[in-house]
This record gives sequence, structure tokens and C-alpha cells, in this order.
Amino acid sequence: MSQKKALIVDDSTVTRLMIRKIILDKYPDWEILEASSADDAKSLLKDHRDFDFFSLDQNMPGTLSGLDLAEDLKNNYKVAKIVLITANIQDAIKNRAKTIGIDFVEKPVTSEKIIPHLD
Amino acid sequence: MNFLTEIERDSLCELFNISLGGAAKLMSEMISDEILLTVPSLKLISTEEAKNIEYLADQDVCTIEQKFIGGIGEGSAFLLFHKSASLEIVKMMMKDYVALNEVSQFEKDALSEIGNIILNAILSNLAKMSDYKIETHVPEFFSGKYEDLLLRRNPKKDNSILLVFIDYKLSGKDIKGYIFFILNFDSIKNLSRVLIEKLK
Repeated sequence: MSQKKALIVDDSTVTRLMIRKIILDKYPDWEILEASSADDAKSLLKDHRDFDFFSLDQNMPGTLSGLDLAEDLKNNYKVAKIVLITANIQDAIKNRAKTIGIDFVEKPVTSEKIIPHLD
Repeated sequence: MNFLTEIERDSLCELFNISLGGAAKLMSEMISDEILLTVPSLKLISTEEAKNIEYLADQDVCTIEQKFIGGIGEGSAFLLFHKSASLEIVKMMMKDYVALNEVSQFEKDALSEIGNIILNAILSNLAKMSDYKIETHVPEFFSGKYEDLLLRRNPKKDNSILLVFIDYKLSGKDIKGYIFFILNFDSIKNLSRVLIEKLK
């Protein structure tokens, strides 16, 4: 497996830690960056253009939601995998994720839920 | 005095019963243990009555509050633990991810995330069953005396605190927690009517 680069966007430190560990247990050579809000992620993206995988929470502090960021990422990262990992499991959220064309994972995170979305 | 008819009360009880079942499943996934739930007890209570709830009055607690707004109205959902139990819950959640002696530094964040997941699951189910869309805010964590945390934050004069009071217990452990919802009376009444309409 070649080295890939992932960005985990979630306001929960615990959830970022869990997702990071799940990814690194499976792919120890991946480079992983983190952001605690979609707004922070957008700033971080200015300096890092080459991501292969994005994990996005939906409800976070700041002006942007995970789905808002996902729409932006879809336009700029044509081949990257984008997964919305959220506790907000309303149909409206699932449907919007589907419309944007990203994967949807319900929290709580487990390796069984995350790993199938890494490739 | 505000009141609910028997059918209104029953429809809301069933709604929360179903919603909590799903939430219990999620919580049990998070801490790898069975969650035992009581049947929801639905009460419209005043602030004064809420102050005297057995097992909570004068206790140190941690709460996670999830504010919400939408067709259902504007309100708050609370997940509440006794302070003495909170670290044990976090240990159960984090044991595969960090060393035990590091768990305490994640206590606030881990409890907030548990609250986020549980309360969003309940609210999502509520939205689905009522056909309302609900917007949830980022959860807020508080620690301190029950009376201070819960009651002083909701000083509304109409006293329509209610509501659904469910306690849950971890199988084989002396850990109890509670879930509260606070909505104004008109929203509660409206929600029950929507549910009854759907059953016709």
C-alpha cells in the first residue's frame, strides 16, 4: 500500500484519536492531519493540496458544516475519498451526503465501520 | 395548568421508548457493555418539582446538553451522569485507544461525544417519526451540582419543563444515568398531536 494522506475533521478530540488509530492500525504509513472544525480544515487545505482521504464530522463550531466542506472538496479533490462520520443521522443529512456523492458513516466509530471506506 | 390527555401522553411515551432503544444500542456499542433502560416516565413538571427529583437533588453530576430547533420547536436534550460514574464510563469507551492512566485527560471530550451521539440519535428518530426537520447545535458539557446545571439554565416562567425522564443502567455495574428533554408545552402538545395524526 503506497503512502496516502488523510485529513480528519471533527471537533471531538476523542473521535479524531479513534479514527487516527483505526487508520494507522490498518495502514501505518499513512500521513494523517487533523482539524477541529470545517473552517480550520479550509485554512489547512491552503498549504496541503494532496489529500487522498477525508473524514468529516457534520456539526462543528464555526460557520461551515461537514457537508458544506464536502461540497467544496468534491470540486477540488476529484479522486479523494470523502466520508461523513456523524452522530446526526437524520434522513435529510444522509440524503444530502448521497446527493453530493460522499460516503456516510454513523457514529460511534468502530474499525468495522471505518475500514471499508479507506480504499 | 398544562396537561396532556391519556392518548397524547401515550403517543409521546412510545415515541421516546422507540428512540431510546436505538440510543441504548449505540451506547452499548461505545462502551462494549449492555445498557438496561427503564420504561420512559413522562411527566410535565415544574421547576420546583424538578429540583427534588430523587437520586439527583444535591448530587454532583456531569451533563451534556444538546440544544435543538426545528418544526418540533426549540428545546434542549440532556444526558446526565452522576459525577462519580463519569470516569468509569470514559474508561469503558476509551480502553482500546489510550492507556488507562491517560483516560482522565479525555473525560470531558469523551462524555461530550457520548452525549452528541446518544442525543442526536434520539433527536434524529424524533424527526423521522414526526416528519419534522431538527437542527442540532454543538453539544455543551457542564459539571457541578444538579440544581445549578439544569435548573438555573432554564429559568422560563411558564414552568413547562418536562419531560421525558428515562434512566439507564449498565449491566452488572453501579452506574446510572438519565436523559431529560426540555421543551415548551406548546411544542410538546404539538408533537403528540402529529404522532396521533400519523396513527389514524
